[in-house]
Amino acid sequence: MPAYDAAHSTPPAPFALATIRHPDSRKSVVDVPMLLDTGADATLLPRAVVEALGLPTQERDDIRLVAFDGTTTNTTADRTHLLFEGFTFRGDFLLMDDNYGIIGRDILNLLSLHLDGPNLFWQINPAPVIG
Amino acid sequence: MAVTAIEATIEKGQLRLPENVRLPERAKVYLVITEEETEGVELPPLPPVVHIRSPRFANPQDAAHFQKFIVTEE
Repeated sequence: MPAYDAAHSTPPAPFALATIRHPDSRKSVVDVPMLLDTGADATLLPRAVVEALGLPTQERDDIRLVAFDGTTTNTTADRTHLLFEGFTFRGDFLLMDDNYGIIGRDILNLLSLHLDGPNLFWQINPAPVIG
Repeated sequence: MAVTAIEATIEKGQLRLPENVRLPERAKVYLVITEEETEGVELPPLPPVVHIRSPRFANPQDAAHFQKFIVTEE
């Protein structure tokens, strides 16, 4: 069972190590730290990883994701693959400028997630909801 | 409080003022260290980085654009 991460967050938070993969070249970056953030509307990938994979990005004038301090992001990498815990998720992703990413409810709502705070571990329960 | 900025140098660990500047004994001064002079200077620790989390869509309808699909690996 994956442990909470105290290196990226105080107090410790549930982080997954994910693989980000280019959908065409299949080139990938492994062990990308991703915060499991149930408060995030969407999943965000670290911009540096997306650029390392050579994924095309675009600025979307029609989309704006706002953090609580008012900072916004609207850059997307489309048709990207995110792999973690045995699942492969495909879709369009927003980018963020940090050394880790965020897995938001666009993915978490497809899974049954168990957070064990007192013991500082988390796990995905079997039988995800597939829409 | 009136503030006057003057350029001074550090020599053998002591602040050396220009010769035409005279300050009263024990006068309080504020030291501004320019970036190119900070080599070897012990600076106070930086404040912890604050990460911004839990972002929300300005328009909740945008969430539909980022729907994800679980795909089966070949």
